[in-house]
Amino acid sequence: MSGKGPLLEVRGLCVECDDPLGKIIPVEDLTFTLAPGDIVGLVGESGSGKTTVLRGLTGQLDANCRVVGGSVSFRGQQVLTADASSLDRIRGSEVGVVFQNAMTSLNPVLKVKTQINEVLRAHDAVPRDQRRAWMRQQLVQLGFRDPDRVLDSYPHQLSGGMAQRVAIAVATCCRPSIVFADECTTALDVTVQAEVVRLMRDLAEQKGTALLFITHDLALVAELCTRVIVLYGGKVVESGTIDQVMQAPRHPYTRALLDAVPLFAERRRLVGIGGLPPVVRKGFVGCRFAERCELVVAACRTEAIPWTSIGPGHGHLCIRPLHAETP
Amino acid sequence: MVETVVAGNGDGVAAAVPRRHVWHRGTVQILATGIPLLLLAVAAVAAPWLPIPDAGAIDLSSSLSPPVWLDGGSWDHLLGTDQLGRDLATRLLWGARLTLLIAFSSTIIGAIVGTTLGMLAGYVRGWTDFAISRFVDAQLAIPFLLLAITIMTARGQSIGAIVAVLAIIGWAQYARVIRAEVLTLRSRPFILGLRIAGASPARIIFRHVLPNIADTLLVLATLQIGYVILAESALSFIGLGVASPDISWGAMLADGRELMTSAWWLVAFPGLSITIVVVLISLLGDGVKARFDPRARTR
Amino acid sequence: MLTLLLALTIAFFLARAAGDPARQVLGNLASEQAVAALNKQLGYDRPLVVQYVSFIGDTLTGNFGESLRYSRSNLTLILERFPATLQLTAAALLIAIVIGGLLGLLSALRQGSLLDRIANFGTLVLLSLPLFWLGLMLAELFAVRFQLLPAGGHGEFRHLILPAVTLSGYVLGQIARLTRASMISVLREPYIALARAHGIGATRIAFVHALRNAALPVVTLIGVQSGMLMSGAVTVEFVFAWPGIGLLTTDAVLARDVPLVQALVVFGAIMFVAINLIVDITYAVIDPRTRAPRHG
Repeated sequence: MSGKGPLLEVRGLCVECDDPLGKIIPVEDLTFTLAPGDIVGLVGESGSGKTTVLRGLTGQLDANCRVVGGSVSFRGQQVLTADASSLDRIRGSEVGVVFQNAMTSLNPVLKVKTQINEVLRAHDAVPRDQRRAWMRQQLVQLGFRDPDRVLDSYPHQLSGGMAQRVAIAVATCCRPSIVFADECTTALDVTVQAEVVRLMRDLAEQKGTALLFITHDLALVAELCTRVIVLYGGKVVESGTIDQVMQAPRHPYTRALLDAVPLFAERRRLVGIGGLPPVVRKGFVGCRFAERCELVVAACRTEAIPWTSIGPGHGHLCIRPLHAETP
Repeated sequence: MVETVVAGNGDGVAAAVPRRHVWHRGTVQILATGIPLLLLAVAAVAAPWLPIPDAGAIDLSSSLSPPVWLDGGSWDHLLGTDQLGRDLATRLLWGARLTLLIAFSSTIIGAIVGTTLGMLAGYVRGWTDFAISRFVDAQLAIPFLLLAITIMTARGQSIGAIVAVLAIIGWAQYARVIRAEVLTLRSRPFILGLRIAGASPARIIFRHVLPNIADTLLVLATLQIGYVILAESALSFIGLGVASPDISWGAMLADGRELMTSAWWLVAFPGLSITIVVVLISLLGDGVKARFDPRARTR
Repeated sequence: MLTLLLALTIAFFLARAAGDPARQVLGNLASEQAVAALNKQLGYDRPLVVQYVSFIGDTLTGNFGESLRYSRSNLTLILERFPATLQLTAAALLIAIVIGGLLGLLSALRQGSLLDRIANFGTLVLLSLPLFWLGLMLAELFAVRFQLLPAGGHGEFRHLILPAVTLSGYVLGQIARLTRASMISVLREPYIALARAHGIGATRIAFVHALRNAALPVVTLIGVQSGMLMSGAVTVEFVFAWPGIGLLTTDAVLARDVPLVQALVVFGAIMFVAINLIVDITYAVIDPRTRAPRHG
């Protein structure tokens, strides 16, 4: 970890949603930090709560959901209790967001230059007469060979990869210190994915931007990230540096995820994980992964599972971990 | 804590959570609007036998008397009288008879014709579809009142003509909507299966397609009744619809117009009746849609 | 175009639908000879096919026939009155768009609020009441009771107010409802969420980011509703004695002037097609997706 102190500190974040059959807890006890230059991968399958995490962090939860516990602080400033105008000031200028599908996250009736300009304007980041030049420069850095034409285009005139890069431009135009990327490579084909990954890495390495990369793609995380957080059923089941987690996974779920991704040169049967992630309602007891775990015992279902900390930022949530010895 | 443990895999098995009795959505609305309308319809049908003043009874001595709550009003004539002393409330009820009769008949005819053509167009496709669709577009291109006027001018006025006119105006809407429904239905697996199995088109259309479009049709028809009432009143107002001695609400508006300054109630109440009935019908239509239309079920 | 042709065909056949145009004009007491003579004069005794062909031909060359009552070219009569109706309709449409659009927008932004519920009920009523009745009541209220505005006539701006407001009623309700629904739908889109996530203010988002997208279906609606406007104009002009095409229509109807009525229907159909054409063009202007090609 480089830099002065954590940019973002999330402690014990809990989100609750209303539901006719009982309250749902999509995220529970989420804790992590982001420091400048960090590239953290938040990994989870569909239903693990990762999208809710993003919404909770950016304050865009659905109407029937709310944060019921924990704290989020940005540069020491509490975010959850802040009022709307101070939040608006941070959003966009300090925190950028990139969604999954660039085509739908760009406004179809506005030109690219207008959309980037809107963010610049909202934060007065760049004087008006310098904005065009600023935007051009941004696009050049993102790999565009004809930035002027792109600036004057509408989103539907761009290819998927170009659109995603434009979305990154929108998110980073005010040079934010943090970027949240939600599955931003999922909709792209592999070559374009590689481009985007490279761009993201440059952002972190050259500009010191902290990235929170939310995805289900473990291979991508292995390639891009420095740290990883594995999410299941709304809880962090394992976290650590890439090496720590990938080479010596402790939690059975992490192990299963790694097994499910065949390496390029391997030829073997695809191993999936049977079952679906649970919908966790209030009053759920025990390990969320119990239904699908091969190592499950009775205690897994009846006892509250404590967090086992192995080192700073390294730990897991299992009472029968693999590699039970210390690293 | 055992009783609060709920099954964790999201299948909705909630043994411990008490279930509230859930009305179907829209049922309340259907009842709230449908019952008054039904009462009105029943009263309208029963009008000849009800103990109310005669609609045609001319009584010049009480000509132009105001509603009961104003000076000069009396309980004999709750809502006032017209220039011939005829009781307004009674005439409203009789007007309801004709207005509702016309509305229902033309809606039913229009619905039958429109639905049939719509189903044909959507199911058979090809030239049939092309021809019918162009026809529908063409008719919808002519402002409805002008269309009605043309027919009425050439045809002359009679209740039958009015019903026919309104049916002609209305069928195109059904055709268009039903056709769209049938088109989507047509490619659904169960219909495809039937076609492959060799079932005859007629059988497929009537036994399988029809029940599935029934709810859309019901909603559409309910709302159309409201439009038809408005159209009929417009026609009658300009003198092309119902004519004396028949009474419809639109005709009453035409009659009352000249006397509006001295007897505002002659215009206000018929118009109000139309508005209220159409509002109730619209709300009824919404309720029916909420209750029956599968696409609208969001819960 | 084909649509127009078909519309004309329908108009033609309906006018001939049953009965004898000449008899309609002359009434039941006229002699057979008089009826036959009039039919011959008007060309109604020719074979149907011939009539049809000449009708289409005439229409395409701008010959809309001659009015029985006024003995002048129908087209001239119509065009004379057209500006007045255009004025009325344009004013009504303007009112409907501005007020309806604003109402819909505010309702969408404040869903569930008192404003929203009142607007919802209000528009429902607007869509349910007979326009001409609204006109009558407004005239009674403002012209007679409060003596604020004239109840009829034509010439000054103040004469336009009541008829335009009346005519705008139905379309206003439609526009308000659609704007609301469209706006709500747009506000749920990812690009709006993204804009919010980057700190752009809610008001700016509503007016700059969302509105243009939300307006698209409304533009199409206006095209479709123009037919309703024309129908409405007939009764509203009748109520307010506004010297436009609508009034011409009612006069023609009462006088059983079949050629004129037919000409009016033809004109109406042409207008509808023309308006929809304009609407399509406008839509293309507003929505960049329909015009610019892809590159890159």
